[in-house]
Amino acid sequence: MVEEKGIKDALDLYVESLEEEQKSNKLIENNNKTGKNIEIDEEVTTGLEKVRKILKKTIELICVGENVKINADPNELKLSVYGGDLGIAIGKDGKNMQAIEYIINLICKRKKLVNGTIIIDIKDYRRNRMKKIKKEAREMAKKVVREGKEIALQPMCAYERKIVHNILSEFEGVNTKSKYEEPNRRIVIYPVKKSK
Amino acid sequence: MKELLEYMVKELVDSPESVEITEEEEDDKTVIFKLKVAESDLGKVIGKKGRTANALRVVMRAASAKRGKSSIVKIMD
Repeated sequence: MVEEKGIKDALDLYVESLEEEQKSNKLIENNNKTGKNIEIDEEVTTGLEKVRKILKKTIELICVGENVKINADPNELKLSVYGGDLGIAIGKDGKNMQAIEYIINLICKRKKLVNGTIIIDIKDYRRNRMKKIKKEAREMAKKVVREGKEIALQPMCAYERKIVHNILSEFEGVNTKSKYEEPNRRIVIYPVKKSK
Repeated sequence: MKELLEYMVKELVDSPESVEITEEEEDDKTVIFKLKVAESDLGKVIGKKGRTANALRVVMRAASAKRGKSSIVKIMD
């Protein structure tokens, strides 16, 4: 079952990436005529490099004496932090990491370093949590369809909720809504009665 | 720890030269940071509904936990 889902996901991703590639190829063609394409990329890369340095210093100051390494991904505007004992920089349910991300994005906006929101991940915490959340959401959606009763998921941040709403919008037989207030805001999955 | 607060705040405000932080030891474990910024920068360190101030406190709490301490950040006006 899990494998099947994995293969289906991989296929979906592949098709998506093909479509994206076609789009971006067209963009590159268009941009090459105007000669703008390369410039934009460099701007993002140098801006992100500045943010990377600020984040590195911040994390080193929080986790004194720990080794800190940060990889920058200009495509996703993502900074991935690796190194020694960085647990405290993640915090319970990623709370400290979210605070760091919020401050870094404020600095980034104020100094106009990068256009868009920077995503920070520490020791793949966010990536692993996202994987878990997606898996759980699909399982719960199946349960909702099977049992015909609504189910509330665990509290999630805005970004995580957005992704869950997205993946479940393609899931037949369920409807999703966010309920309750931050920091307990969570998604409730409702069954949809088949009409006609 | 003071260095961390100073670093973040100075990156956030328009007048970093006006940033002043005093550190007081409440007891063995608790440190109080009193933060002063230019009046025009107060909004920047507090943020909408105090979101920035809260985020700064969360990060400072993390840093102090790493050092086996707790910290209080007071924004002076």
